[in-house]
Amino acid sequence: MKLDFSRSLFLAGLTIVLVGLQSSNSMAIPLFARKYHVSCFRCHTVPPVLNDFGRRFQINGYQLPGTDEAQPIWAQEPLSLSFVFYPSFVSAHTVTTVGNNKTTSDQSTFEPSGLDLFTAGTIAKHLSYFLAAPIGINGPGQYSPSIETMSIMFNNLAGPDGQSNLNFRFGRYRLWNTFPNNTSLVESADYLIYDYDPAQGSLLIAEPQWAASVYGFLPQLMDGLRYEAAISDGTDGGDPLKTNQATFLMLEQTEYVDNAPFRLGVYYYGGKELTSGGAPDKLARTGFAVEANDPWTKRFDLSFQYMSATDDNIGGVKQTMNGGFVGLNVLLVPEKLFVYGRYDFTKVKETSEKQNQYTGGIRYHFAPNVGAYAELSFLDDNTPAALTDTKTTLSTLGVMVGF
Amino acid sequence: MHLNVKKTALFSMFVLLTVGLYSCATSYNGSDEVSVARGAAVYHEACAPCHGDNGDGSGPASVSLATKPRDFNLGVFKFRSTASGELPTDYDLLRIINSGIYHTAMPSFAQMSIADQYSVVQYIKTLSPVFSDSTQYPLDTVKVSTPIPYTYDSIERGRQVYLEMHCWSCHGITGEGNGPSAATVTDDQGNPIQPTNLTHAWDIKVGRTREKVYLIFSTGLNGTPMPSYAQTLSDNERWDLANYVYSLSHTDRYYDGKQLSNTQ
Repeated sequence: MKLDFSRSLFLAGLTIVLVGLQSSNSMAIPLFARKYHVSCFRCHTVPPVLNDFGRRFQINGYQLPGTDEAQPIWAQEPLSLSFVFYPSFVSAHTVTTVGNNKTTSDQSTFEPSGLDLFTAGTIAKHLSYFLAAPIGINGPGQYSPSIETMSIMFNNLAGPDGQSNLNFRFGRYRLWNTFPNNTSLVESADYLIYDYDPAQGSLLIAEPQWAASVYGFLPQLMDGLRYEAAISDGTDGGDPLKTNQATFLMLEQTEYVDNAPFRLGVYYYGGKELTSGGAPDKLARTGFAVEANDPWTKRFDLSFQYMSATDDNIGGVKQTMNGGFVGLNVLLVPEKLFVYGRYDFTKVKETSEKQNQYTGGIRYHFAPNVGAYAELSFLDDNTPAALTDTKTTLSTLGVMVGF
Repeated sequence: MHLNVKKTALFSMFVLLTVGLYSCATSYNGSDEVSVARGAAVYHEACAPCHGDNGDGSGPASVSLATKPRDFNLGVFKFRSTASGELPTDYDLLRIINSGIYHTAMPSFAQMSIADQYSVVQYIKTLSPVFSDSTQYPLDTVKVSTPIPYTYDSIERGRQVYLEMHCWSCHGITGEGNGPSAATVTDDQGNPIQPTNLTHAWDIKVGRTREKVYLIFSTGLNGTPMPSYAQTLSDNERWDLANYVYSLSHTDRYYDGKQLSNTQ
């Protein structure tokens, strides 16, 4: 019994620390700055948060809005290639309570980031691509290259060039849902609702996944409607669609109040997959998101998302989770200094597990492509029914460099 | 249920495709004609995120930029081929759209169709009443005269002009943009301006050739403290000054008016 307790304690602590240490892999991609001879802040309020220009650049197949580039990649200079790394120092303090037993652990470490390689751009008119290939560090002299996202985009299939009315995308990539995982300013703590995966399958709404999408931007509708409809085979690909598939639908409307964007997004991600035990699970994720910039100073960016998740077969029973987050990014000095904070929350109805996560940080940019940050994150994972409670505090100092 | 998921996905894609195609069909004029209406559509897609829907330079992305986007409502433009205080020509506006302004937030839209670029020019001209003021015309376009050869003698004469005209008060004795007045320079709207570091080739926005440097001395930069020297310097003096400024960011770099090799 004692061994089990120690083991479960160790595993719980390790899991929390690893989840906490997991980088969101979020950074501006300097190849575009180099290609267009502009600063990273051309597209980012603060990397990796996209401003309105960056959002239009992204949906236009990584081309300037209003354009549909015809120059093939082999005729382009400089080479569309960039590297990003983001090492950090992390100190984790964990207090785990199981019944009446309370244990504490502390761990500090330098977290190597590996090196992320990006290449993207135009292949020909109406055709562009995006490839992100991180090279992880597993140990001394041990590296693990992988492909995180890899997709082909057919741009501006209808309508004027560069307006992104209708596009098609295929490959492994992230679906768009107003606050994508890789555009979070918080580095040390992931969105809790995106990490929710009780079936331990491959249908994860916020992770890069094998999919085909019809998507676009319709500036003709009010100040702009963004849409996406996709069929996904999950993060791994290769699974039979008969047993593993999800449908994704998203609508996001933008309105400007005195040039301050107000966005409302709704989405649905649902389908079926096999659980780790081999039984089928039918899942659904529905949510809505709101983003509002204050119309006076335009320096306060408030974000909110709420998601409801259902799975009909987790260990033979239905499971429901409701959760979301509220975030605030504040621009103190343009292109230099930013502060931010976020509160994440989830609650699983059947197990009564509750998670609350508070994160705050400050970011300073020495140059557009070189930044440093300090973050403090606190996660409380409480399951009263199992008499367990884990509190984890992460202190993170990190730098991010892109070239 | 399996069938329903597929049906839902296919139906949704069909609806979105139909809505998308309809929206495009109703908005796209399908021609290469230059028109203000077409320019407005392109402007709102490509330019409004920074310059604002009404052109006042306060678009949603402008707040995060250290250098504020141009306020088109004022009708004041820095980079022109016209005399000081005058409006730009259509070609001046087109050139900025096409080439961008190096190492600022203004990218080159060279990949935009030329008809769309011209259309945006026509639309920008509707954003300020001064473009329809007949007293502003005809425009006095500055002619670029025959350049003085790029020689050490010319560069040294240019250095003397640089000192005599107090260019150093903003741009610094060494041309590094750190003159005694540099910290307090603002544009006409009170926005801070960082004088260009003339020794950094990558910092130079438009004056990347000797001809363009000469043009800046001849036209001035409207709305900023950078004046036109068309009335105060002779044509030869402006060319000497252009040669000197150009030399600062190139291999013929001078310090204190002397050839670098002679100072060592």
